[in-house]
Amino acid sequence: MAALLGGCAHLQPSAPPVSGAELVQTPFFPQSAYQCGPAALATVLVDSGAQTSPDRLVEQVWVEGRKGSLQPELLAATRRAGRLPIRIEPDTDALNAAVGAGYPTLVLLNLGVRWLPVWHYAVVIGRADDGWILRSGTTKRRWMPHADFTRAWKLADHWGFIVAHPAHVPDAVTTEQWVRAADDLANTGHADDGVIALEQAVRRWPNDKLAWFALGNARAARGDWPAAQVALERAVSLGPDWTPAVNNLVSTLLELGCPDRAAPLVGQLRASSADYARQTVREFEDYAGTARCQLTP
Amino acid sequence: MMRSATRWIVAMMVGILVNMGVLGAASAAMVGTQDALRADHRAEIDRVLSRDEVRQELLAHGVSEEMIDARLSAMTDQELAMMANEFDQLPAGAGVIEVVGIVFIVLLILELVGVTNIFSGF
Repeated sequence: MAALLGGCAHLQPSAPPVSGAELVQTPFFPQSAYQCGPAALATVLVDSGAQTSPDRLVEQVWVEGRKGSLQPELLAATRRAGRLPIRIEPDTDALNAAVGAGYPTLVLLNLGVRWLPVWHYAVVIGRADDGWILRSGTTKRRWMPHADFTRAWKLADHWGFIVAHPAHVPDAVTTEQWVRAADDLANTGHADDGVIALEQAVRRWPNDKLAWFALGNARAARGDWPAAQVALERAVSLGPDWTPAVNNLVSTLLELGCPDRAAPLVGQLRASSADYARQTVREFEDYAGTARCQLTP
Repeated sequence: MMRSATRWIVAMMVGILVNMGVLGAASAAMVGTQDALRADHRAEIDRVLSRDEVRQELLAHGVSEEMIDARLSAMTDQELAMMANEFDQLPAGAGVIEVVGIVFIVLLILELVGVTNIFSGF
């Protein structure tokens, strides 16, 4: 009983579907007690190649006082494994596309009713004509009729995410989605993985200024100023009027000891009212570095 | 009362530190990627406040102290804010063990009238 009410639930036994794609390679970790959060998370993380287990994830996502795991902590723990959590669009088409692209999808379900919720995390691994196949609770292969699934998923606001490896950008993801996820990864103690993810971003979207800007910033944060300059130069050439990119390029050029290279860009910063732009202009004017410019003209 | 007063004082102090450049990016005038995508400049202040609130919530809900820092460090500003503002509303389970009996009966009735189908496998 406690298991039912404590953030996880056991779904009814299933009948096997007759057709449809199914990610049969997805690992399975039967949940213990009401810990479907750690079990479902381990399923998608291990599937992405990360080395972890439900037991190890308990100390990352379990909240004893709530007898369950909270959504933001599942996303955070995904980053701790060096992976990018990508929220899927809240509809069954997106879910179908994610699974079809090979990504088992962790979903939140409410198996009860709105005013008496029974929250449950499970992993969708396939679609049958008239239902969905899940790794769920203690059942390796659970089939849920489409109507039941959509009802329970809708009652959980259609919340779900996939786990992406930094070196592989999922097809369905948008530039901004990926860049934000990569930036989040870089800012939470995974600078190297963040840079890898952003290098993939500029490969996938070579003409997107945001991707180059983010890559430049991530490289700069690691102290790799020459590589940052290359990326930011590209961002500025793609978006000459975008002040943040111009600003960061000027800062980077000063860092590299190249105020002469920065000079033509400073006028644009003077015209901006942003605090950061004013600060950069001040730094340009007060520049007293003696290092030789490391860039070839 | 106390809590909101504390919050205000902390916000003020963090604001001063941010302006002094004590807190914030290592490289002074670089704009963060996601800061460039939003207009406000309160991010740093909110992050420090949320972090402290979430720490208190996790401690109060039985998460051991030595685990908390690593858990907080992996969260984005947005996630910290969500945890800070909605900790008790975020779905995680009923958490009302003392009313298990009543909840059980209500859910069983819902099951019998065909609204849910949680118990079929029990």
